[in-house]
Amino acid sequence: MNDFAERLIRDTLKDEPRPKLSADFASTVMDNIERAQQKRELSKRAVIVLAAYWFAVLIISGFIFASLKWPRWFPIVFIALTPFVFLAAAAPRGLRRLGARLLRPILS
Amino acid sequence: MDDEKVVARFLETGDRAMFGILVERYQDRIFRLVASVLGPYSSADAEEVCQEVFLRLYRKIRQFTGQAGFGTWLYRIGYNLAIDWKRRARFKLPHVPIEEIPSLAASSSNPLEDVLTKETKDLVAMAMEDLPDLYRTALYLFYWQERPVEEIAELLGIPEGTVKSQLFRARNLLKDKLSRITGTVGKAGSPSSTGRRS
Repeated sequence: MNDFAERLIRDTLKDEPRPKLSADFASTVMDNIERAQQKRELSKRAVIVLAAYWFAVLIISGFIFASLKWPRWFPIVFIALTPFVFLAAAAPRGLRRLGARLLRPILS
Repeated sequence: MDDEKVVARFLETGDRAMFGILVERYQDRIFRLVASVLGPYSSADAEEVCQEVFLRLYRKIRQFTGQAGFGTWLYRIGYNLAIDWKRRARFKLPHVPIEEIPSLAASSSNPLEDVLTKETKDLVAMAMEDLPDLYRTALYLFYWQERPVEEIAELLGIPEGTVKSQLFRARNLLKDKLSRITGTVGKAGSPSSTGRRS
């Protein structure tokens, strides 16, 4: 019985093409690793830039809120929401593109 | 230089050439393992998964504690990634490279025999896809990739005796599945008769 199953398996698989690894596989792996490393460094730099922007926004908005007599809760809510700017860096590319598309008519 | 020393040197110096040595050393075995998890006509996917395996290795190599052998640890990463890929790709059409397409066409001069043989092969392939992951992988490694039992044991991280018993159980399970599909397999004498009902 088991021999029969074995023969069936052999018959089924004997003509199936054997997969082959491409000759430049190792170099592609090393290229991909380098690209991933560069991407990670770029995203670190992006976070630093975002942090600088965030700090600037806090300072400027502090001055604006101090000079205008807006309700007290407004600056607190505004400042509490500003850290969400960091989420922009972590958002998937599709979401960022969508955000950019939605903001384009407002900004232009 | 053994694997553990290469890993230690890579972690100390960050020298990518050391990582390259590991890639060169393991690429073929990882590819065979991944291809056996994914099954025939998946060489493009298998290569993509292999790329992912080595990228994952690069990111996680600091987590290698040396409790198990480096190879065993890497094969486990490869097996898990390939299984995840297979589960996710269940609803996708397989990508068949152009060079593999001629082998799908009928080659014999007897079209009826071709149809029966193809039907039998399709049934067996379908039943094999239905087997538990580990059984199916062991079968593909042994019968399709024609790897020795000791290499299969190493790739799957199990003893050689277990591989043999898994192959035995997989064949029995396959036979049961085929019997359920056709109702004739146990009684039939030739592989080409499995598609027919008696």
